[in-house]
Amino acid sequence: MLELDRITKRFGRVTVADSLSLAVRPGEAVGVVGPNGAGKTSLFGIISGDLAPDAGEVRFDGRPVTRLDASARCRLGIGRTYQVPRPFEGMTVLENLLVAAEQGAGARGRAGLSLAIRVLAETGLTELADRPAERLGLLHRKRLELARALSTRPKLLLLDEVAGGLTDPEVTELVEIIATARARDGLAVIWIEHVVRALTGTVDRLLCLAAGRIIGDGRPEEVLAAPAVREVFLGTDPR
Amino acid sequence: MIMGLVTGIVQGVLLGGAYALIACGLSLAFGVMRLVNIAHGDLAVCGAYLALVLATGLGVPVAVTLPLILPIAFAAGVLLQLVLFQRALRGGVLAPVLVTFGLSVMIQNLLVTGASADPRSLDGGRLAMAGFTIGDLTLSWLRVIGFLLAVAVLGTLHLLLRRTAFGRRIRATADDLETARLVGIRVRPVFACVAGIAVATAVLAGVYIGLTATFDPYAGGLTLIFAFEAVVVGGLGSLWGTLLGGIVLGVTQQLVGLWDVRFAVLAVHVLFFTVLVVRPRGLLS
Amino acid sequence: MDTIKPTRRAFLGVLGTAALAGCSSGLKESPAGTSQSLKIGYVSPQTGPLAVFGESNDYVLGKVRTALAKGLSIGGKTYPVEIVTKDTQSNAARAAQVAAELIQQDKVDIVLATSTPDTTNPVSDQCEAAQVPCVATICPWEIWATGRAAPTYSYLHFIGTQQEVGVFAELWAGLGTNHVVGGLWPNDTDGELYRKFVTAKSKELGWKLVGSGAYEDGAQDYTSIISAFKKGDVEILQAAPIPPDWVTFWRQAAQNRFRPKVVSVAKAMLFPSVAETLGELAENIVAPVWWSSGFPYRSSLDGTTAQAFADGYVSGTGRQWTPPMGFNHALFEIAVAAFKAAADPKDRSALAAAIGTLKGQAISGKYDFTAGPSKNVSLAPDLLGQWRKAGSGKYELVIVDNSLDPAIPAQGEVKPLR
Ligand SMILES: Nc1ncnc2c1ncn2[C@@H]1O[C@H](COP(=O)(O)OP(=O)(O)OP(=O)(O)O)[C@@H](O)[C@H]1O
Ligand SMILES: [Mg+2]
Repeated sequence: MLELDRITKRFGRVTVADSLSLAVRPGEAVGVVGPNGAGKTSLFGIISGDLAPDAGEVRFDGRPVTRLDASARCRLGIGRTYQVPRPFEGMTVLENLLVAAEQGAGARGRAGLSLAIRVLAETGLTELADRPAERLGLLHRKRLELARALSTRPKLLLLDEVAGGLTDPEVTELVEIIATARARDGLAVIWIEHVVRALTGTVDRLLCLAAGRIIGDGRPEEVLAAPAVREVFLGTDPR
Repeated sequence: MIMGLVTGIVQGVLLGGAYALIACGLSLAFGVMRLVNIAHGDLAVCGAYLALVLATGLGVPVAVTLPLILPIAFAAGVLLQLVLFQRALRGGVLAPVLVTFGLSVMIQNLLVTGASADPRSLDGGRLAMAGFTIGDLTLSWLRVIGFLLAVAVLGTLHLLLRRTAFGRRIRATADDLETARLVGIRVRPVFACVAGIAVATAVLAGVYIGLTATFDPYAGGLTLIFAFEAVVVGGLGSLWGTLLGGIVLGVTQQLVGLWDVRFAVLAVHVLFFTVLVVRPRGLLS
Repeated sequence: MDTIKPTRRAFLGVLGTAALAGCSSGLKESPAGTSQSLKIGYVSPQTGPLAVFGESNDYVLGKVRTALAKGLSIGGKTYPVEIVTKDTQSNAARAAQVAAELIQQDKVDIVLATSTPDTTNPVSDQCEAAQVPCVATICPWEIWATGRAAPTYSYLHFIGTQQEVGVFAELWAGLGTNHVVGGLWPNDTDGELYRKFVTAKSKELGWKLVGSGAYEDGAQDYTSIISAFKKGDVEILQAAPIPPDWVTFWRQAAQNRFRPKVVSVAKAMLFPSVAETLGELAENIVAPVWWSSGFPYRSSLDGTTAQAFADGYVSGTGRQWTPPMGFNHALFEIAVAAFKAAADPKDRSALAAAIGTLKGQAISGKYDFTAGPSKNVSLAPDLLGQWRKAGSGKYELVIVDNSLDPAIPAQGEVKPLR
């Protein structure tokens, strides 16, 4: 459903994507690891439409979307969370989800409201529905980031370190939320995470990214065992 | 003495409403698009000229021309956004200021050529010339109407922003442009509508100014200064803040004016600078 | 009659000078004409906020050019007359600039300057410095004469503010009022002048005065001033605002139910366009009349009567006649009289001296440079009129007080405002 075809992106001398190609099937869950600055977040930017690649093509559901902006891609079904949560600060939690449901999922009026309320319940934010986003703590901000992405009813969900900084029980809860959403909507997920432990229960495929290239792609334990992957993590054990 | 104070405060509040009416479009455009529209006052003056031309041309009262003028103003705002502001906003902080400054100069020159530098004014009929008395207080109907109009416009905008899907879209866009796109908001039409609303309110204010005072092709500059000060004093981008800002300016002007008119306008500017230094983000916020 | 603040004036002046430097070389005309033709330079505001003063220029200049088409014969010699006009763009710095151009490039024999101190004073100063004769008008003589060195080459023929305040006071005294005068005087030259003379006059009469305070030109809100007038029970209002401010003030006065018994407005109510803007509110406002179509005087150039002169303008342009027409025409009449009186019209100091000896009559009435209130000043009489709606539906200034020149017929009786 998602295909990246020889994508190249440079920031000055830094290459964040080096003729990178990748295909993700519908319903697939792909984990992404890689050292800091490997280009993981940039890759999401290229997929979601925030970043324009210097070369290459992005296809979604078989059609090229390279020239579409983030808004159009969202409406096609690409949902994304930011590594550092960026809620609409001046709006309440519910309003954050409503606007995503109305615009991203095209659920107007009542439909939008019921979608938003359902996502609230699924992500355990119901009690905070009327709280302004600017008054949320980190845990809830991360939840809201996920909930807002879910409210756009994506076919492909891009998760950027949603588990980072959370405690073990919180991570478990989060993993469950994602599992529930996948089970119901059959959505595909690409999930960047430094904490590989969070990924292992969910993903069936793991990518390792370094310096804008995919240096490992396959079953998680195989990728993590590969010498090239071990080398970039040099001493630090990704497990 | 007490009566003088009461008069000053009441008149100041009413005057503040008029300032807020002019300022709310500026506040909206800044709040949502970060657009500092230097031509805001000139657009208001254009509205006054349009009302003058239509009212005399069709031989109808000024108020009757509003249903015709406001849609035109909205369309003009949309058009300006699409062909001018949009591009300028992509060019950094200074570009919109320069572009709208250019627009301001252009409007002034076009108006001078088309309408001459003669001061004009709109004829609001009987009501516009009438006042009423409560106790020792004499108030102008037009001022009262202007204040109510400001409250009505701000109230409508408030409800629109808080209660509707369209309003949520605007607020989300104002909050974080990138994230707004990320959740599927088409930003361009949102901006275009906001610009349309901003110009329509400017034009409404322009017609009001035309009824209360005189205007000429250069009147936009002074109008802009007061509107700008009301926006800054109230708090950048906050609509109720803008009303509060307008009222604070109006009351200051009136009370200082009662003491000595020489310092009335000066006091307003001093207040503006004081707020800018002490509370740079404005009274509300 | 000052409308522009000094800072803006100076700024625009710089712009004007810069713009001009680029094109002045292309503007020189007939270099040979300097020898035996007589050249008159004419400086007036034709564009900008003061443009209304120069609006009748084309007509006035046309009349003068026709009258002088055959040239002037002086001492058995016939001199062709050439007129060079310059626009001040309503800006004092630019006025000085164009005066210098007339003197240096066009080499004019005499400079005429008209309309507001922003024109008359800088142009007169330039002429004094270059020792070129100059006649100015439409600036109260007090403003023209004070703060400048005693003039030698420059002259002024116009009314005076003190004299005007005197006739205002006579008129007020004739109406039954409580003798409380309100003064609406801005923070500009004219405002200061009226403040000075009206204050002195009310003291002399023992009347009460409620001053507005020196508000800034361009103010949009007058409610605090109106409150003060109401509180002081003002029945006589004297105002010297710029026209747009007067419209704003007077409307807000109506809205706030401030209705004095008599209103005398200097400068702002000179022009019919302002009266039209005010509509009904203009009725019976008192304004000075320094010239009107009803003046029983003729052009000394070709005998045209004031009435015919005004009618020609009205029928030619479809606009109402304005008071500056008469005085602008008179400037040329005075220049011609001076050329004739001078021993040698091409001798600048002889010409300047000749102006000082002039005593005569123009379409605007009598002028007399030999017995003015100040050196080189000829004082014109100041009449009073009231704006009234005429049969035509237009507002006209009807002469109601002719005490300073009874030769001019009054056209109506003084009426209180309401
Ligand atoms: N807008 C930008 N301009 C310039 N350089 C950028 C920009 N965005 C990212 N970079 C650089 O590109 C490189 C890749 O950044 P990216 O955020 O994609 O890495 P990452 O793999 O997500 O790292 P982390 O694990 O720290 O989140 C980094 O060196 C970063 O500094
Ligand atoms: Mg990252």
